[in-house]
Amino acid sequence: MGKKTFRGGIRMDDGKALSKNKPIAVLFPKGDAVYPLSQHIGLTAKPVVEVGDKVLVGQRIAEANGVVSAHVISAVSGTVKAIEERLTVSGAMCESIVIENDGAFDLAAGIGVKRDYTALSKEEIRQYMKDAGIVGLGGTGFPTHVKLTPKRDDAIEYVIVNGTECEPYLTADDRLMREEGKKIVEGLKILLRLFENAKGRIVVTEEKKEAIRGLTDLVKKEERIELVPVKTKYPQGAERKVIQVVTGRKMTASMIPVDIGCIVHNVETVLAVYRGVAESFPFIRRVVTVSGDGVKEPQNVLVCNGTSFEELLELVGGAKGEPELYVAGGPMRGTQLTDLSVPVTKTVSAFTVFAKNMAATMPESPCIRCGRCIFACPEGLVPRTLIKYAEADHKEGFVKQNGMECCECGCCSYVCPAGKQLMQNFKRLRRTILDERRKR
Amino acid sequence: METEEKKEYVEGMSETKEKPTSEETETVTEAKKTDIVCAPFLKNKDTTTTIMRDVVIALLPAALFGIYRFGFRAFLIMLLSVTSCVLTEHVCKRIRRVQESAYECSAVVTGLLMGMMLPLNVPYWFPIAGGVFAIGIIKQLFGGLGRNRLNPAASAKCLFLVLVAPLMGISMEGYPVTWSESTLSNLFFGFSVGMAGEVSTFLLLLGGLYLVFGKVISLHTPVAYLVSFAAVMAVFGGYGTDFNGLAMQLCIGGVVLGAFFLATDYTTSPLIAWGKVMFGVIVGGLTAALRIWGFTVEAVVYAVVLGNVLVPVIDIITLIQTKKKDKRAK
Repeated sequence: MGKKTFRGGIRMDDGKALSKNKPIAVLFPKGDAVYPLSQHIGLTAKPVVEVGDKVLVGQRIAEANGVVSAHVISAVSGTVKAIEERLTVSGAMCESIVIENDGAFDLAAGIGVKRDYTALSKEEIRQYMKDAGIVGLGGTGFPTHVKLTPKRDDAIEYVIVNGTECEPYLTADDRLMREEGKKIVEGLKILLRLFENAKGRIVVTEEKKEAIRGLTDLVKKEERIELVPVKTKYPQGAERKVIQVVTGRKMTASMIPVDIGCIVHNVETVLAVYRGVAESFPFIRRVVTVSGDGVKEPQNVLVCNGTSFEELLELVGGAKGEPELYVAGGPMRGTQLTDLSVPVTKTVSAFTVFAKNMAATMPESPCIRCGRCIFACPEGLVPRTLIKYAEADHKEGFVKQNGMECCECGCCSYVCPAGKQLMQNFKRLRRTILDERRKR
Repeated sequence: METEEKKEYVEGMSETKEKPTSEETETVTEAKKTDIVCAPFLKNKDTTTTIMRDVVIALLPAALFGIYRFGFRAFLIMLLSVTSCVLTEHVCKRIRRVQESAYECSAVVTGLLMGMMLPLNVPYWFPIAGGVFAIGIIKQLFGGLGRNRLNPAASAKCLFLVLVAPLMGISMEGYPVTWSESTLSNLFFGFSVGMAGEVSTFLLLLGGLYLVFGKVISLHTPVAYLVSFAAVMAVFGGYGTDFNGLAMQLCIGGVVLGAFFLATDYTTSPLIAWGKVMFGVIVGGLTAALRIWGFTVEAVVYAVVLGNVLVPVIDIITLIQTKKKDKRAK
């Protein structure tokens, strides 16, 4: 039907049907809540509470440290039990605040007070965002108030809401657009207040029919906002691909969206902006998709930050049998969890559990030159040439073959019939090269 | 029972010795499990083995039809060449000490293709020698699966056509000598004479389409091949707008087999779509040219092998183009 799309990418069995049609359930955890002080990109936040202090829901427990940083806010009420090193999703240790949950969920003062955002100045909007502790919820965790403070506000031409959610099994954004569509549009209007020359665009993949129907009605009257339905394909949700599909502008890996006049936000981030600015409700809970063939009842849940994955799994009804693979995030870009005691943080969008670890069981065989990786690569790279450099750790060759343009979507690894670990190797070498560049 | 008890007893005795090893194996398996902590955790189900299996499935109808028409000898030739290919593959792997995982079926494909393309009056030793040549020399000497430059099956047939047939005085009979004897439908459905596996153009097309719909091959090469072949035939072969004659040319000598099975072989064809089109055009044109000006109607295998030689060049040209595009984007 001539829907917009990009070159490359893959279509796959996305498993979204598992959790798509169940309304978002609200969960309240009973166990201790753990808040790592680094849930975002940038400097670690500074704790403002001490062991033994009483905290309330919505109370700031750690403060942004420097410009690029974000507050950490408690989602439970109780007593601060400890401030110590704890394991995080990424497998690293991070200083964390542990709060003993009293189960009462007493709100701190001032939460839920309605504000008229049309009367607020730009500075006030940004301040409220910062107070709400909002970070980019698509996965990077870049503090939102920083992202929304470019050098020149009038140079921004597009504010894009990314509702594509291309990652298989994830339906959280889909559900949010269906249930909270109005607030999302309002949130986008708040963002548009910051950028006077910008046009608002909501990008949704075409398989989310109900969400599209609902949003079309909502944006009908809005002059500056338009809905952009796009073809369903992985990785449509990658920032560069969203911008390309909306504006036709291509980005390279060394650019950031602001360079070409765009700002991209995840659906849930925009919703959090609305809650933070217009309802003075800090970002303490988020919708997480719990899905996969390893859970009894796949569904979307609104879960408090700091809840452990273990408790989350219990609250949704437990695992089916003995799953082999637990993933924080979706199966294409998520992180494998080896320890379920780690907490759900701001950037965790899903918890997928699989009975079998398919990628691990596949043996590697020689490349048969089928060319599928080239066809699938959304960046137009040649993964089968890159892998030779990556396997040999040949950095110059890798960079020369545009290896740094890789967006780490994993399409090549997904399609490879020889079971080569393409993206895994690229990711490793890219990290090494980026680290070296930073040191210089 | 007694032996079991004994076993338990012995194990109990050597518990102190056994334990650390079992722990060791445990940690090893654990390490393996946690080794791959990197996404993506999803994998599409196609593997090299399933792809090769699909190709065999696609070839089977035409092969079976050939056996049905020409009897036991056709079957024996195919069986010999498949067996020879598979055995050679195994021996070569042993010698090279490589674990080219699974068993790939790729040797079966080569053997089946070769058997289908050989004439009925070939001596029985040739399928065996051809298998050794195709797998041992053309494939394994160049580095095994995915590294061979030439199509093994087509090369083996070339060897037969160039060396064996003239030396032994085998004439490539089997083709309709006079056109009036065979009608187009006879040729299309395989009721004329020809190589056992090549006679039924219809079943080969069916197999080819099975591969296309199964997304094993793309339509680029076959379509470019057939169009280019027909075009050169029409212009230089003196057929002009004689569609009946053109269609007959398309139905003989395994043109369809070449277009859908030989020219689309992953390893010996270009990587990206434009390269595939270019390759199809070159090989198709060469086939027609060899038929018009060459010495034999058996032009397909020569054209494919000649085209294979050009593949690295085509890859370089087409891949440079994609790179340029990237730079423009910057």
